[in-house]
Amino acid sequence: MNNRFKALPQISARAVSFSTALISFLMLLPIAALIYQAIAEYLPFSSLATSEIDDTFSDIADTVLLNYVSNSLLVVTGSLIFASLFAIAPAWWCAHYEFKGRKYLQWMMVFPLAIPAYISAYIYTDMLDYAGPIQSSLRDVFAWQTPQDYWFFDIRSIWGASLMLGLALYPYIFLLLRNTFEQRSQSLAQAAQLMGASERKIFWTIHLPIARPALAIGCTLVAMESLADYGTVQLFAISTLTTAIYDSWLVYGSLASAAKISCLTLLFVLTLVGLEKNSRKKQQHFDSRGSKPCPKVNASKTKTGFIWLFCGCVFSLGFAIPLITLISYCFDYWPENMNGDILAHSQSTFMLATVTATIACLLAILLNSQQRFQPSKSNQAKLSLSSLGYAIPGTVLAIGILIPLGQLDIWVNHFIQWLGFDKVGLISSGTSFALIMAFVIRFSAISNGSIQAAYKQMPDNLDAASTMLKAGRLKTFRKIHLPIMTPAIISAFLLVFIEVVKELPASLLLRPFDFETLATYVFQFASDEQLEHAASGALLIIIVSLLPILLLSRSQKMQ
Amino acid sequence: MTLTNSSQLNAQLNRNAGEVSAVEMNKVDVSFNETNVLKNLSFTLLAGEILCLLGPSGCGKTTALKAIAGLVKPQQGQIDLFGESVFSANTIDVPPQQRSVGFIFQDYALFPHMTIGQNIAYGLPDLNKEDKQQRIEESLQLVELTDMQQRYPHELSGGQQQRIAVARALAPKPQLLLMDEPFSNVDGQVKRRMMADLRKLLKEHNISCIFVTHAKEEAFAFADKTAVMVAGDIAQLDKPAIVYNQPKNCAVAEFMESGNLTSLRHSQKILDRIDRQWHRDVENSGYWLFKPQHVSLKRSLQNTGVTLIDITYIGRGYQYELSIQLDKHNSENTIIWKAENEQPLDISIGDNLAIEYVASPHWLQC
Repeated sequence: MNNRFKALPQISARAVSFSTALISFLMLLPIAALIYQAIAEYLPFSSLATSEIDDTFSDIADTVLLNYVSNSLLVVTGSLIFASLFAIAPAWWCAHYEFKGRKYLQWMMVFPLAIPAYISAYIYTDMLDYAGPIQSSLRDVFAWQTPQDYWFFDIRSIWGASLMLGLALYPYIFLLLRNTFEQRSQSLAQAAQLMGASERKIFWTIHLPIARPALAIGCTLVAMESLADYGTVQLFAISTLTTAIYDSWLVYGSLASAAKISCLTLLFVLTLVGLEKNSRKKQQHFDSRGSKPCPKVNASKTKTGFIWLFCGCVFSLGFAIPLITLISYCFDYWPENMNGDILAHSQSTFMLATVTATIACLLAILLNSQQRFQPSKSNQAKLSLSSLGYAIPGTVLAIGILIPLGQLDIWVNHFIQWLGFDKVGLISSGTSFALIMAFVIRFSAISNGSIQAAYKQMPDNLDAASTMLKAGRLKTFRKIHLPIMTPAIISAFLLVFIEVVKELPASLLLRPFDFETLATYVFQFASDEQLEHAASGALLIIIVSLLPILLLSRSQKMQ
Repeated sequence: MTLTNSSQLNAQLNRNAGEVSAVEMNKVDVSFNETNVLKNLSFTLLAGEILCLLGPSGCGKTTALKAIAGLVKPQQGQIDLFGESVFSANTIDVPPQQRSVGFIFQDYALFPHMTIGQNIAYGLPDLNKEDKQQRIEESLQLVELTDMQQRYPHELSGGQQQRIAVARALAPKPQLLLMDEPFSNVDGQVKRRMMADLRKLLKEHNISCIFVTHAKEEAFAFADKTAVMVAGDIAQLDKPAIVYNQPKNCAVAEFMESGNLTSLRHSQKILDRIDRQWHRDVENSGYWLFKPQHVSLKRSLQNTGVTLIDITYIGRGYQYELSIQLDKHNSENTIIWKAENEQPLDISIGDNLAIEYVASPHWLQC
């Protein structure tokens, strides 16, 4: 063999393959731990089988479990109804009609995504409660004396929680549906028109059925988020599966019971994921991209007025009112809101978010570039497994992480004692390590998705061209992939960063002693009915959460 | 022979142009997901020659190109480049970046985030800054785009992008240039000029080339030799005119649209109605190929069983579509023929025609 053909230096493919397999294993560890913990007492070889049997779960199952399940399902159903109500018609209007201010309205409708549901829940409770300004004013006006004199919507109910979640989550459905409606094929509409169909009939028989998979995906996202919600239901004292997990561990101290309820919750999530996958299959079938989209129709003045009235109400309820209220809280309680705590908690939260986002992006780049250079079913499986965390509710994931890390801490302490030293305490489950691990597992799907999309848009021929120009994998990655992917990496970093700042349930369970994130800090005040004192923290969360929406609108403008 | 010294090689190639083999494919098999894309593919390309791999979509021509480049790994067979083995099943597999092959992709694959100068410099990592700059300028001169160095690919037209792709592929001075449907994104006058310029360039620098297309006109205008691929194998490899006029089998004749392919049995029936006779003493099975331009037509007052069904103007003349009844007692049993004439004939659709074949047809054993 000629010298010309001597091998170029390359990263060892085996080392990369091993590390990606290890990453996937770590991503799956919480689920495996949950299942093990849930069934451990029934396993003959388990140490738990011989130890004292934990009755907490059987007590819960005999008494309130059914109630938890039905409450969870009711909250999910209610959230879906409200979210659909707020999203479907506006999505159609923004896609179908041209009217004054449409470009602003279509982005304003997404803003409520930036407000965590528990913050809205607190503000509306404050506003709509018996002692709140609305009921007080009504009593003054109509001279009602007691609650028995009139009926008023009880916000602290399943429907109240559903309304709050619907207001916070409807943008998922709105965004997906609007995109699908925007791309609806002109030729299909014209074909139906030539066959004598009216505009109304074309909507019901052509556009809506084609948009059905997008609607299903949006609904699945809303369902998963409302099933995973902890803050809102906790504030409204509604017992759901997530609050049950939380209570099982923190109130009853039963990890086994928490694991069992987590497994039950996972079962619901898996059903939802299955439904979503099925919808995506159909979406490929219905994909109308490539054909010319329908042009927009000018809306009449009356129609424009109605659209603005409806969407304006939704926007005000979902975004403007909570935001203005928080700003007024901030001014009213200025000294409390400007204390050093918020600055300290912001710093620690941003640090945590930076570390998590960096790790998540690095893992996503590693996994995706491996699949790019060596496409195989096993590499694809590693990618899919490492994206699974997003479907797991934060509370469930936290329990799934506590189990193996708690065990690890026990082993480490035994080992240290055996060596003759003092115990070192909870070095993994009681530190930020557990939080970072949970966040990376939960939000890797976001960074994976972003990097994967960037790779999909990059033609394979660029790699082949680079190879033909004598570049090895490392050079191709450094000089071609990385520069082209930079915007995707930045947006992946930002998205993960923001999700970490907003995350509440896992943070509540896993945060180290005396450690607060912005979200836990704000929630703590909200649950103590003192959100006014942490309004600046809540505002900070909202401002940070608005970033992806601005990014999204900018990227769509560029497209 | 030491291939590292490309000037020596070029000198030798110049001396022996047409004698040294640039590419030798020997019984190469490639399959994806248990589907055989290339089956026992074998051919030889001589140095300095331009070969066109022609065939319908999915026949394996791009895969053949990628197997030569090393972008696709065959399961079986051997590939030699300039007498040196670059692939042999289970023993040798030289990486693509070490095969000294230039590749032009159908979508050109210009790096979108790099300027034209950076795109060309990408394949020249071993040169110092001055030499690199000089090579970039030389390459751009070759394709007559010297003032484009600082531009980005998206700022160029399709034709200019194609020329930059050529410049980038040629900058490292490859001995062999592979092109995957390089002219599919340009059309008309630009395409013709581009093909002429590129052919001149390749011949001047004695660069061997294999290019892939499904348009036979490109093969006629650009290639020294044409290989028609059918279902993963080469059905015929020869000069374009020979492949067109004397197709080796029915698949080639059909793909090249060489003329009216008619089975021996049907031909006998038609020949009874044609005055001109030729040697009919052929095997029992096979096909005659009748060229449309050799079919002469005349209106007939008798029922000849030949009816004119369509007339189309095709630029270089007129094409007539004929329905020929094979069985006197069954009007349904017909075949369709085409005839061509430079001048319009005094015949109309529905006319009965007398046909004559004014040359010897080509016999095909299919």
